[in-house]
Amino acid sequence: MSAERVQSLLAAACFGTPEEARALVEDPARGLARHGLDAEDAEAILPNAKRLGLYRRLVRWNVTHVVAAMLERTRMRFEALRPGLFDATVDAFLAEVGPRTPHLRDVPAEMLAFAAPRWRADAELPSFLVEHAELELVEFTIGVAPRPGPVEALADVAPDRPLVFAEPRAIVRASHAVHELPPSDPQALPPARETALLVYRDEEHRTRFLDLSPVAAAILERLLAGSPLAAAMVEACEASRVPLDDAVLAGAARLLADLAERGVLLGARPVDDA
Amino acid sequence: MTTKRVNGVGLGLRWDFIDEILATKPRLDFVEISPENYMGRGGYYDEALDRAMDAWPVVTHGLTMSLGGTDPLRPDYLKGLRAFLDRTKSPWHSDHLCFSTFGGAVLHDLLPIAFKESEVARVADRIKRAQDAIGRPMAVENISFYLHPGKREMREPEFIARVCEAADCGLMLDVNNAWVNATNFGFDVDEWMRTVPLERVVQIHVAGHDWFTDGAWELTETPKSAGEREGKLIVDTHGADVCDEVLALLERVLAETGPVPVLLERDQSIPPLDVLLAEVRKLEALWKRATAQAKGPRESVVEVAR
Repeated sequence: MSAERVQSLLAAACFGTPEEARALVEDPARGLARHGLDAEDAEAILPNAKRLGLYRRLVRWNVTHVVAAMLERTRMRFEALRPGLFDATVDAFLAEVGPRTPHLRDVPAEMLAFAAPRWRADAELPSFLVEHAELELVEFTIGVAPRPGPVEALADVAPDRPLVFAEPRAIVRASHAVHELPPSDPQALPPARETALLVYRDEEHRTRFLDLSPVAAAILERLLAGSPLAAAMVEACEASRVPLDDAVLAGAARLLADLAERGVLLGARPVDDA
Repeated sequence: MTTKRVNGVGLGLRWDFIDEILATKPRLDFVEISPENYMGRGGYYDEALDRAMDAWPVVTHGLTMSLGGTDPLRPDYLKGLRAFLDRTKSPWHSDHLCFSTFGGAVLHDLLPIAFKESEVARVADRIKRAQDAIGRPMAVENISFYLHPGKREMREPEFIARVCEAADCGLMLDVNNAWVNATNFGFDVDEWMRTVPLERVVQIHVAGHDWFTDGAWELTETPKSAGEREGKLIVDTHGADVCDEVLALLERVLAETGPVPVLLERDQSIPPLDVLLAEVRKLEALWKRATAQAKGPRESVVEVAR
């Protein structure tokens, strides 16, 4: 179908590699022929073929602008450590995959899903950069996650009950304390330390972060997965190789009280449901 | 439930001024939103939409349906859109007569389709299927384009008329886009207006544009004469005030259509809200003047549930 061939040409002109775009501008007739355009279609396009470059500029601006805006701090650190690599990865994403989502806001997440394995495999690239990008993006995704459904009737917190937490929330783990990096210093390196952050949205719709101790993270992960309180604590201590002693119990009580105050812990599921 | 007609002059709701406009709630006949910016989204802007719906009638204008695309229409997108339109109670939904997807990729811009006989039936069929899927009347918008993507078997206004007729859909008439294309390609925009089905217009868009050098795509000054237009091209940026020529065209069109809702779009170089609202008031004066002398004044046929 000729419409398909023409649309293939325009899509390639917009998302193709810089080399492909340059070749199309320098020898448009050859480029049009490569896409199999009918002679009469090619004849209609050729007088204004240079304007394929305008479409490339317009289309790419929309996409690259949102990626650069939502990963602004990550891009700044890439520019300090490996200038040009971030933008080159976006170029590769557009050329090899392209956005699949109709929501412009979700393009950065698609780009990062494409980029993360490549960046991790790059031995010369500090490993914390992927973690930094993931943390920067989760700040946005938690902030705009769909509003939660109505909360069922709740019971008081008790050891044998699973707990109910407000949505949206997530626990983000990293091997570096990327959340401690000063935004004003793109050259700064984060301490290599296992971290776990609870990311949640407060009543004012702001994304908030809570730095969790290893045991607190282990307990909370199990609670978020639906384990009853007592079982979550036993399993978390076993996994963390720490005794379930008074200090852990007191720490867990403080954590749950803090989460309740923040509006993250809503209560427990009633016994019948549990 | 009460009903309120959507008519008069509205403003495209943008995040750049959403806090201020929700705080001040200026008088507006309606606001327009893009579902893609809100669908499946919670948090601050989702709540802001609720507040906007309390303040003004809302109409929806989509960006990525790709009615002219060759990729299949996306059922998940249409399903989500239908739910969103139920929430906003938009009386109609509009999207563009263009393609914005190919090979599974979404281009996030409006790319032109060829004005061919074979495209009329193909695109009209997609519009009908989209209309069924979202459960709302649809209107299609004429876009600005910068090249003809294939052999022209008919002129743009004939293509638009044929597609609207075959799909039995409304027309979202963008007078700025028509003027931009007429200027860039050198045709008579009034003749263009006499060919498109003005009786199908459910809403009008108006916006500003910018001039660029043709080839280097550098922003350049508005030419003062036809001779100065050589080597320059208008790009539909929505980044400037509506120019006098487009305002005059809008007035001539409203005199033909009668009172249909007019929407001011501004997406780049957005001025302070009071400046934007002053432009809305200017459009309101034009709207009243033009529709008072309309040859065939008509009531908006669609009501919005409130």
